[in-house]
Amino acid sequence: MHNIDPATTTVSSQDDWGALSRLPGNPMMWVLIWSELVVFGVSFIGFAIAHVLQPDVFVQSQGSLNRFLGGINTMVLVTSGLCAALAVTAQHNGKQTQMRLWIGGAIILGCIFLWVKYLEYAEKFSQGIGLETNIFYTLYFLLTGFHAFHVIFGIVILVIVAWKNSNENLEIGATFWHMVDLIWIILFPLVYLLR
Amino acid sequence: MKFKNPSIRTLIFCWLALMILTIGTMISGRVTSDVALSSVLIITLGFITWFKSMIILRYYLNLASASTGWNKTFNSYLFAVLGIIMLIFLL
Repeated sequence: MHNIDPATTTVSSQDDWGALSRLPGNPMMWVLIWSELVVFGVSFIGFAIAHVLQPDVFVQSQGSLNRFLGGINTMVLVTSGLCAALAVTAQHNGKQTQMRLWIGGAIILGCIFLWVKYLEYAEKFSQGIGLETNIFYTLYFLLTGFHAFHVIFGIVILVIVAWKNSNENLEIGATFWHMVDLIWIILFPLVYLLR
Repeated sequence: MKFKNPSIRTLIFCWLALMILTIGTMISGRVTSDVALSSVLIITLGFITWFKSMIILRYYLNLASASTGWNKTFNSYLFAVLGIIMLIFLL
């Protein structure tokens, strides 16, 4: 019988993970990325099907969204992704202060994204629009809200990895942040633009 | 597999490309108007989105350093999801 000491059993990118070992960084992160892409992918297709089933409701409700602000928010998130990537490069080059500055930039831009989202939600709530108004708003609040939770979680992760700043921690934090970015890149045109 | 970050120049070039493509998304999606999108604009939006996703995957998530098989798998999955969405809107 084998005795496994939990204290020495850790998940490392150096372990043999089969095919997953051929992906850069920690394989567990890629398992998470796949699960997120599948969950959001199915939700996105569901949103598109609902749009076709009730086109009038969707077109009318979508018209109340601020599409321009959504585009600006995309630029904010893309720029925060660049900051996270530059933080990883600074960490690899042993530049701790520079790394923290880039992570700080990514966090501030993440907060700006959330603030714009808050303004968007506040405007809808003040007009009496909520989760149960119609199918469009149900899906809009669920999809963008679920994504916003990822942004909040990503900011917490970035704070932690800036503090416990090993190379691997920072790579994992930045990878999560890029995944959040990737999901928004698809969510924005689907929810705000396609009609 | 060890994580090899792309060069600073590559990262900044990718960011520039993503910003330009986002402007392309905003123009194709007619952000300042409520008119319906033509089939050409819907297809353009789909391809711009797919291209942006590829840039984030290949350079920011560093998939470019992974095996060809993984690159093809991710590319195909995103192409399939976006393709289904675009087809639904075009029908």
